[in-house]
Amino acid sequence: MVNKKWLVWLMVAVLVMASLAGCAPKAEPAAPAEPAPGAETPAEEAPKIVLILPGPINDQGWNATAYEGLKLVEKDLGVTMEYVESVQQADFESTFRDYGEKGYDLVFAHGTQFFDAAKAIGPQYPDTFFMVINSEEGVEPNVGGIGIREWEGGYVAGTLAAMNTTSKQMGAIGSFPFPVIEGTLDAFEAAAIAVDPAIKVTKTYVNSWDDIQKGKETALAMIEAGSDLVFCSANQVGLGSIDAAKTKGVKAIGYISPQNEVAPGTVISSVTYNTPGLFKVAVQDFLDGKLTATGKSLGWADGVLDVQWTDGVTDEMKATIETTIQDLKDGKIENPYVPGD
Amino acid sequence: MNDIMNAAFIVALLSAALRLSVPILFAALGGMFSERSGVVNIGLEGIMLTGAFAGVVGSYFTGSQWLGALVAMLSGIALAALFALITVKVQINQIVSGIAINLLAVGLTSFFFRALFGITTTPITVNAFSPVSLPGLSTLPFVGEVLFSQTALVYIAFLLVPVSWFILYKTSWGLSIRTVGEHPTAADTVGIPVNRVRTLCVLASGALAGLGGAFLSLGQFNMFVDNMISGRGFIAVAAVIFGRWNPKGILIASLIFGVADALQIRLQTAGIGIPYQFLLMFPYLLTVVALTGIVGKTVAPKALGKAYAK
Repeated sequence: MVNKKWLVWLMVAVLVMASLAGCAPKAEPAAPAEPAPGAETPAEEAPKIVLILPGPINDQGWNATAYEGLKLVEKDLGVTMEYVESVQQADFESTFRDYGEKGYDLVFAHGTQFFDAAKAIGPQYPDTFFMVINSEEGVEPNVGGIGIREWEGGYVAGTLAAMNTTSKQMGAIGSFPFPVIEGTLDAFEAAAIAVDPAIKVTKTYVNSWDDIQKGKETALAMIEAGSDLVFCSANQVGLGSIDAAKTKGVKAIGYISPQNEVAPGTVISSVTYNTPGLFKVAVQDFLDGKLTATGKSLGWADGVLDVQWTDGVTDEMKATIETTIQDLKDGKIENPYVPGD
Repeated sequence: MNDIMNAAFIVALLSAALRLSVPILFAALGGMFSERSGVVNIGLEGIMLTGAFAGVVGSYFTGSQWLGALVAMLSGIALAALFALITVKVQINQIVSGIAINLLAVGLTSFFFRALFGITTTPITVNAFSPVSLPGLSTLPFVGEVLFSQTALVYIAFLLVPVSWFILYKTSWGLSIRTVGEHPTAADTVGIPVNRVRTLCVLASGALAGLGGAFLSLGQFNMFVDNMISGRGFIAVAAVIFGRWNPKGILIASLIFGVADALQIRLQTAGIGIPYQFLLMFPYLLTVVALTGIVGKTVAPKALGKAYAK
């Protein structure tokens, strides 16, 4: 029996190590020439920054853009950031506490869902600044928010979509009916109707960020019911809806990250979030000592939204989109979203 | 409302239901063998995920989706071997071990995917299965489109139902499996190697769940994304119970889950005014209703969950 016990402990050790390996924070390898923090430059200690992500960095969506932000900050500002992936709701507070305890200077949390935890833990660690991506509010003195006005992205996608439907019926898929996602789909619909009031948009929520099969089946259902263009704001689920569009020979609009290459000929263009830009702005503010405990929201006017074109879009359409973007920049278009509607 | 419930709608609904039920069917048939022999395999979810990943890797490096599916099965067997070692040989609690397998699979697949392909902005795509229309049958009205224009893996899944039934009820292996699950001591007395039978059954469940995962990554898509199984392995565990541990019941259970999910999606997109929360709940509600009333009394294998030591 002795050898069996030994085997048990070996098993447990292997499993624990394997699972921990998946969630341990990974420091981005700094440029080889750069000295280790504090090693050769004791005078000016490198800031300790960490990025907390709700999902995996290779989701080709929300979390991937944050990872790009990390790389952008490293490249443009020479500041190295660590990151932790797939942090679950139940671990938000303990993760914040962990980094507060370790004396980190700046903690990014990638999504509004982190706000309550930041609000609860922030005051306990006054030397750490908690920056919640997409939060529209902050808490004095050290919890701030910075975000993209996502509805502005949905609006441009809707305008483009409306010029590319012949059946006048389109499908819009969202992950969860959070205000920001609902707002994106509503803006998509409002923009489409502004182009052509005869257009009908079917809005559906799949209650998942990663169920790619559900994304595909939902899009298939929409297409079979007459939609000839699909739009999806739900991370990996979007890959499923694009696949459905490809299978059925209809069009799709890429969203959040550049998705033109996912299915050339199907994805007519992508409206992309320059989420990396948010991180650059925030880290620059941090370096300048200008971080404020408020919610900051950025849109087309701040260069955090962009369009990745394909040849499938005519110059005429491009011109219309440019006008729409200008109108959004000038604040001529109101957010159509009505909370609780 | 009037565009619901016409023939085209029904055909589309049933095709979708079939596609949604296949991964559950594969894993549930595997789970059935394991549970019939007395081992609760809650690690189906993780094994499916590993299969989905390994299928893509196999197809990527060999260029053949069939070899990809084979690699998926082998990877499922490998993970199941670990599970069998922990539960059958070392005899750790089966539920706890199953959860560990699921957690392990999430980490392993994600890690190896990045190790092999790096952090990509567009998904790595590989050769995958395309629908095969069975000559003659696929042109039949109504059923042709639903049943006979699917990918090869769909046909395999449904063929496995009678095959499993035959193995379980008409062969001496099947008798051994059932005996081991009901009364391991008696089985041991008559010379059936209890733990070897259990190990083989767990390995079979790994092969089938791995194939179920490959159905998602190679039969429905041509790529792997993190956590793409999204709980289907757990639904499969429920389908085994719902299907009363026999292949026919499991087929029906899987189809019910598939229909409920397909209906939910279609009713939501049809915009018929029912709150979408209700529709999302629908498949699970159906499960609860079915479990409490329709399927009657469920009798689990008597030795289920209990390790056997002489």
